[in-house]
Amino acid sequence: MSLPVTVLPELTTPVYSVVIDSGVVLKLTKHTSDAFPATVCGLILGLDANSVLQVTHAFPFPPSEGSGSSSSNDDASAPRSKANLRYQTDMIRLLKEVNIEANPIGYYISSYLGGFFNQALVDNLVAFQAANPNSIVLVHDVTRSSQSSLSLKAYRLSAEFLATNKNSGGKFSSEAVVKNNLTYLDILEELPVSVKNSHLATALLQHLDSPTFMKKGDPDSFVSSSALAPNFDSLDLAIDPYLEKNVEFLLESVDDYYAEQGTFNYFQRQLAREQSKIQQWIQKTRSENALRERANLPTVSEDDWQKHFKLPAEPSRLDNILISAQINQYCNQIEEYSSVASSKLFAIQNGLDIHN
Amino acid sequence: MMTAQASSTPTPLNIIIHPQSLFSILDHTLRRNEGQERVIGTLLGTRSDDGTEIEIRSAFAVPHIESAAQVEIDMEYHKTMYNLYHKANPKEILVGWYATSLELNAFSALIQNFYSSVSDGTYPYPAVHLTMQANPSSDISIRTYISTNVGVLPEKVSESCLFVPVPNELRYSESERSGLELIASAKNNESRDTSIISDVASLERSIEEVLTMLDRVSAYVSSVQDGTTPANVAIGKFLLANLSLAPKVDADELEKLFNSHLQDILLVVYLSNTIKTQMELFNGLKRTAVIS
Repeated sequence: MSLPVTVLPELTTPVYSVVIDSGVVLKLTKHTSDAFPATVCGLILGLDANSVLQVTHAFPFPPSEGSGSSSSNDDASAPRSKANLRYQTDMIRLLKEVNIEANPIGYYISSYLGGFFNQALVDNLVAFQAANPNSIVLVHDVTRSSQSSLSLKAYRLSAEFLATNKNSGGKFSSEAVVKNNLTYLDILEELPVSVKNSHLATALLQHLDSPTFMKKGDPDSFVSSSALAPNFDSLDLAIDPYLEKNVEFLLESVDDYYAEQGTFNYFQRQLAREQSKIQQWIQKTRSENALRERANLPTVSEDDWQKHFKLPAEPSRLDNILISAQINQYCNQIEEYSSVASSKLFAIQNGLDIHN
Repeated sequence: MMTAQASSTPTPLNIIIHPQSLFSILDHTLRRNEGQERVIGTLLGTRSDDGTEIEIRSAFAVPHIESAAQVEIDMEYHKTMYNLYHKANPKEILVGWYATSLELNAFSALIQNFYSSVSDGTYPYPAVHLTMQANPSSDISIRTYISTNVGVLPEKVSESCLFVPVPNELRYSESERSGLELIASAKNNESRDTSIISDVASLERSIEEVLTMLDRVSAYVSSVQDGTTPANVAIGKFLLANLSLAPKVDADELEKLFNSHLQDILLVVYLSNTIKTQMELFNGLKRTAVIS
């Protein structure tokens, strides 16, 4: 991995919030929504200073060559594929010439209804945070943004997760998980995000809003056609498509969870069987040793069971944790959405004077 | 000797600009080197099938050095950057270039010719030139042009150009709208920033806006009734037409719809809460299993 390292990891001060430049927000949303429903990703560049992470630039990765069912996996791991690393170094070199900070501080992905907890996310973040502990992933949820206001969240792997990863060498055994106090709730920590406009951008926005800029439309129509006219799509009442999709994904995740649980149970049964076999063997050797001592023959050590039996390897708990976090995410989304939908319903009820 | 070019290629009649490209241009202006009056860069976008409409979707900066006597553009940079951008967005092609000062001089003509050239320009379509006044002291104005050759002397053809203004409009897709709305909410703040707000908060905001609009309309109507404001027949008709759009539904029907809607939502919320509780239980059990 040859991510450019600007500061030694031990010397970086932790950041507690993220400030994104307005141009970056537009670029990001344009790229992710154009490619909808495919998931895409790109790199973000910026500065980390004064415990604030400033995102100043972003560029998309070219779509991967892989076709068919594996294309979505390719896109998810795109930040580390060889072709994209070359693309990234070329791009950064060119951007340096126009005075753009060439400091990658993470990457962004688009997500369809919040389904981004997968192995690729973990791998990418581990690699990024090894180079710069303040790296983040920006997740843009396209479906949610079209329902209500922009949904852009910044996450990074929590300290517990990184510690567990290091301690168990990527295997995530049960003891490592418990020792580091890692639950599915704290895989990722969320950082507050705010959007900042440069002075020129503010001037442009004021200009766009001014009457001189509005298109000379039909004089009989009094509808404002300014580019910044408020958006009232969020007052729409159609809940079915969104909730349906959410519940569908939730049920799929629960199925995955049970499948994974099944593998773990299988492992536990295997382990129990092996251990009972070992106990029996130890008993047998013990009685044999007693016989041999009487015959003055060398005894067989009881610890030799390791040569005869092999304990099954414990499967990684990481999948379980990821799926649990995913399920949690879907449940939270449903709850947030229903709070909005039920308020709208009650408002309509009062507005139309329907008495219960 | 006037050389009139009889072009059989259609000329663009309308140019649509996406706000993202404007913000990129402004960003580039902020980062220019000391002493550079204006900066230039390339515009990328799509062209409609008959060539009459050009859409400008994104832009990137190209380093250039300008002095009184000559201008130098890094063409290699332009080519490499264009290739990289094209790989990421295969649909976007070269459509023109931009500059951040309103003046059009001989250098503009030279650059315009480069961008319209056969080898890697926009031939046979004319290149679009966008100028944006990014001076903080004056209004931001955006103008777009295409060029035609106007030959006065044969050896100075490459330096002579007639820039024809083309009407432009700002359009944004649905996707950009939410982002733009968020950014625009910061424009009246002192600190020029705004944070990402939750769903409920944005719902509250939209409702407040609708309420203020309704207040304005009702104030206007009552002032017309009092006689303080002259009545305008067009506005009155428009308001009447809009009010009649409120649906007339049977009260019982509506109550049934409302109840079933609410039940759906509550059911799903209950389901998700149950699932979350079960996950917590499983998690707890796992931990105790390991510890014991």
